[in-house]
Amino acid sequence: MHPSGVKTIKWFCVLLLIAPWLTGCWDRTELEERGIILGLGIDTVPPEAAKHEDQITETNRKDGFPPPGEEMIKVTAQIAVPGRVPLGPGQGGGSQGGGGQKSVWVIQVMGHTLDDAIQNLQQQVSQELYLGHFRVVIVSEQLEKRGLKKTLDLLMRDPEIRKSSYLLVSRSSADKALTVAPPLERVPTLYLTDMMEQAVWMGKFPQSFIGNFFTAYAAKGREGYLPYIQPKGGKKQEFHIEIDGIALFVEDKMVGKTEPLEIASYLEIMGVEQAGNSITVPIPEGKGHVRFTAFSRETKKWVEMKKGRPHLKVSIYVETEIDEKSNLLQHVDSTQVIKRIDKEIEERLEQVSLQLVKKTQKKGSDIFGFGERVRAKEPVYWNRHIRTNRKWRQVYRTLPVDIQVKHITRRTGMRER
Amino acid sequence: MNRPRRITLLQATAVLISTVIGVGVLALPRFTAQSMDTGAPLLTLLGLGVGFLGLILLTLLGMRFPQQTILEYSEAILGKFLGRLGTLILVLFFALLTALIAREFGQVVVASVLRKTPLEVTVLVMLLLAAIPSRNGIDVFAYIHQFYLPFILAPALVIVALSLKNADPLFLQPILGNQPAGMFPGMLTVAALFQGSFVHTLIIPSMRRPQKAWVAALWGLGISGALYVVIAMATLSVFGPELTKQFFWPTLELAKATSLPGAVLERLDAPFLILWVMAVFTTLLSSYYVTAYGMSRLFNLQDHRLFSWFILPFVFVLAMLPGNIHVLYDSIQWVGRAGLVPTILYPLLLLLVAALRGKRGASGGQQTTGQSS
Repeated sequence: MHPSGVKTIKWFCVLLLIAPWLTGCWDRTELEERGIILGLGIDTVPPEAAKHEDQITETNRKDGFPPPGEEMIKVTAQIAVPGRVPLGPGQGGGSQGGGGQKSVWVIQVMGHTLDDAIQNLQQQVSQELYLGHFRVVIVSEQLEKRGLKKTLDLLMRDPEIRKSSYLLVSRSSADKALTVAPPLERVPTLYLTDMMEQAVWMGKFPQSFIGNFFTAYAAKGREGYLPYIQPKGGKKQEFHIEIDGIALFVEDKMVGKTEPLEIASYLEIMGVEQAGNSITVPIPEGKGHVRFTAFSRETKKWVEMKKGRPHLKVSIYVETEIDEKSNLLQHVDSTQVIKRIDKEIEERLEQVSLQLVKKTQKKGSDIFGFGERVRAKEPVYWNRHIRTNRKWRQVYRTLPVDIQVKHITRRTGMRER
Repeated sequence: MNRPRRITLLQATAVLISTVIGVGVLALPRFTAQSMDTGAPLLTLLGLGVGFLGLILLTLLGMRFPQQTILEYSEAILGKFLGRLGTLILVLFFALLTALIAREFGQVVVASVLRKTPLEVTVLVMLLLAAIPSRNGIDVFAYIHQFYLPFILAPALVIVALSLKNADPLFLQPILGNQPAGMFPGMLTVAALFQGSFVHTLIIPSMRRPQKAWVAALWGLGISGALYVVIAMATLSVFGPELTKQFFWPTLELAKATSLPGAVLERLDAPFLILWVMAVFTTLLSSYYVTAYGMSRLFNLQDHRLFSWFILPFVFVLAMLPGNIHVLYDSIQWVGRAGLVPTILYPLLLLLVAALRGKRGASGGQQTTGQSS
């Protein structure tokens, strides 16, 4: 063969070899082709609504793929509208009008499970739904009480979902809570995540990502908790959200909730260093009240075995600052007065904290993870008597808990008295 | 045969570290937690001990026969037929190991990032990546490992350090575990993770000072083992034993749950996976190299390059055999445990027989007796 012919063939072979590498990525997805779900709201639906469900992932015939036979849920999805979601502060000012320029598209579907609902939704949306950026799932209280199983599995299994998203329990319907859009933030779900992040940062709420819930849910000596939110405000357009407590869980079922102030007790028992809650105490042997805001705390927890039974011990140390005093004539300026107030606060804090523990004991929901401490520190006792979540729940109800509080007033603001 | 003695101590150590750290990093916390719940770090340490035993035997052999690899002096020790048989078993085992490493890599990629890319493509590309550099000599091989070493160690350490803020020390206690169900089998499974260190036998004859081979072995396994223990501890202390058991790749979940401070990156799994590909690559390269080199010894050929391409289809087919991820992990477990026979017991046998028969290789730059011209 002619030498240049050989050369041509050689080059051709090289080209052939290169070609398969230049076709690009299998998993290429254009941004516009993606339906980025930012938030999900999950509600219960009345049973008769099941008849209206689309047969996307199941058939009516029993020998086909019958529906899983669970009660239906209604899923509200917020899909980001490409180009409308502000990417930085620079774009923020643009349109205040709201109405025509919504940054998200809210759409509702029904399904038997979360994935079922998302598949049903996919059938109605042109873009491929993408869960990698979603930040918030709100579940209505009613549904939480029935159990979260059908929601949790997908959230744990799907590789795209971040464990730092939030799972919130809403007192009223979740679809309503999801659309809360105050003027502070143009994307509703981002407002919700900001709200949670700020609360954690200010020391008003424990960190509670989905991942934290999963860890507690799986652990043997611990139960999960979730933030409990409640819509506030009357009219349909202007309502907003309040963090209203901690939802207590037993396995995947919500069994109760705490009062808002009990969040502070929870943080104290858990020993979260960042503190930001305020309390009011009457001045002992005086008139009026003083308000304190905590700014730092430290907690020691341990287990003591007495007569073969664990005793749970908690020692809390709080440092606070005087915020406000209701009676200008009453002086809070001497060591004695402050000491008396400290004592007063200590007693009251002990009471309130103990109340919270008693409440969780009554529900059998050990959100503090005392059980993990027993498992870790007293393995002999644990291995002989407990071993399982269920057994720990029973034992937890009856265990004696002892809480001690040490309170120190560190700062008094700019006023001397 | 005379090999150029150009590999430094640092390179030998780097080869060991980057070979040992590989695919296993992702699943290690799961199966250690499954066999010993909170005792997972301790179990990792025990497994390291078993793996170390194998490497020490290999190093002692290597220092006894500083001119040859195990594939050569085995014939001098056991005789031609038995030696060849041992080599054959080693080659088969390492071919299988290579296949499983490639497949596990593909399985992770398909499950977590490139979900539409066919598994075959990911595995084949990875095998090609290993096949091409395996055509080089042992010097280049060592250089490649040395080059990638920082990229392998750094990300794991960064993720461990950043995850500490979510860690709960209670999840690490009691250090013996509450219900240590399968301590012994678990130990063997962990030990199997260190099988890649077998490549040391190929390095010793090319080291500048083969008598220092034990230093490399000590540091190599020490550092990689410490990294494994630290990863097991970090994962366990963040997720707790019960949740760790439920994830296929807890370390990947750890990267996912870890964020850079200041919300620069809210999840680190993507950067972690990118760097993890390098770790897999170096591991795969080593076992591929051992397989190709072993083949050349088996057929008494000077050059292993021919086999770099020749074994590719076989390894690929082996990699495609497991039907799903559960079959895959079962086979990884069984192949790993069975592999302790050729990687630990076989060197032990060789060392005993060599000591009994008083066999010893020539040292220094002298020509050795026996085969291969």
